[in-house]
Amino acid sequence: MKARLTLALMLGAGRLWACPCSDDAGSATGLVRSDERYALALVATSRHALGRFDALGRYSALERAEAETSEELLLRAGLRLPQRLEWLGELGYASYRLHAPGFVERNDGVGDAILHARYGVLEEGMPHERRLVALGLSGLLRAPLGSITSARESSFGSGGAQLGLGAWEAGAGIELKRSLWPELEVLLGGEAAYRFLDHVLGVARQLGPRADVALGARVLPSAWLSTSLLLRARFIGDVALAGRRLDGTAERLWSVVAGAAVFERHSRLRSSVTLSVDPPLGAFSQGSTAAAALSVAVGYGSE
Amino acid sequence: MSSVFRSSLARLLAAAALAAGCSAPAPAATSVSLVSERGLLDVDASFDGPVVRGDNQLLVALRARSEPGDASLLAVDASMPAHGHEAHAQSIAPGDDGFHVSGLNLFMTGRWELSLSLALGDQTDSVSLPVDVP
Repeated sequence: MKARLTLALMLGAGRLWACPCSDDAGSATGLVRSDERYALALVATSRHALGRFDALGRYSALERAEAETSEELLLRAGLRLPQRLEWLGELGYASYRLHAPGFVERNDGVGDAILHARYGVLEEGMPHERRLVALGLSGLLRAPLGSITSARESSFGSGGAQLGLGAWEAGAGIELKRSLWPELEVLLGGEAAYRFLDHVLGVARQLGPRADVALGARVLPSAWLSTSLLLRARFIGDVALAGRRLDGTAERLWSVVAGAAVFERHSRLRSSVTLSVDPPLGAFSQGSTAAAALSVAVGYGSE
Repeated sequence: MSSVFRSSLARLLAAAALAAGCSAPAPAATSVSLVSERGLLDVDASFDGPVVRGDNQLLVALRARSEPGDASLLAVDASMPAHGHEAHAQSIAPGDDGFHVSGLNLFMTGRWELSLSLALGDQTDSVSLPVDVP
């Protein structure tokens, strides 16, 4: 789950590198290449928690008898209409398991439906031109269709929203890309999202706002292969319950994401593999689950 | 790297920090004195020793603030509202010094919200407190 944005980003491989900001909480990533009209991709992700940071930023690794894992199949379908505007829908099915001493839970079901719109405002100019950065804007809308919304007797996991947030979410993002050399691109992206009031717990709940910032680089050693390395930071504000803000429920997490993607121009097939790790170190992360996630994706596009 | 790129990075980081609130929260105390939501009861809640990941015990003492009646502790529930995790005390036993709560399995590291359901006579009330599980 953690890596699905980056994965999709590499699958898209369009002119504007999409922001790998958000994964489980929505995304602004591209899928349809700039010379395509439609694209479809299936992403399989396995995620294993390593431990958790408490509200004060102290890390505790999971013990031998503990585990928090999930597997997800995510279907992504994109349409480019007009050419500079990409519409992208996502829907996943996930299995979530949590084991702790005296507590076991398993929950399977569909996730939220997410609609993205990405618009390429500026393309990167030639070296002699003043316009050196490609600029893209994006928006997202998450509809709480996930299993959590209809099955309140079970939780939906920490650090992952495969089974749904339980709330509507609307967000916007910005993406910047610059080519340093023909084989090397650098990316900077950000996305902010607002979560609306919900009643999934039986009382009024409002999840805190989310902000993601990502900085990365992509290396293109050949026309069919690309590799990437990204650093991402996520911020989520405190939760409010019954109108009262709960201090200490905010989350911060930084992640390292590495991936490789292959694109075959004649067949329009593409595939990729991505590894995402939330390092259990440093003073930045708090209130969040550190995990490792491995994703494999296959996709197809059409003109 | 262009100035546009650098300034955009700075603005994004500032916006993200503002959006999430980067100040560290105060540690949750393991022994607290509170007034219930409706003001019916004074509540003293103390964990037996440090809070642990797993089963926890606590002592809850209740005193009526103004109205007469028997004070009682009906339920002790804990939740991580962002994730939907919930835990419930397995046993609440009245004693001379208060209500002895046991079997509260806080199974995950992080901040939990503890909710005590209370009663004074035939009136119900509640109180909440944060708990840090290391």
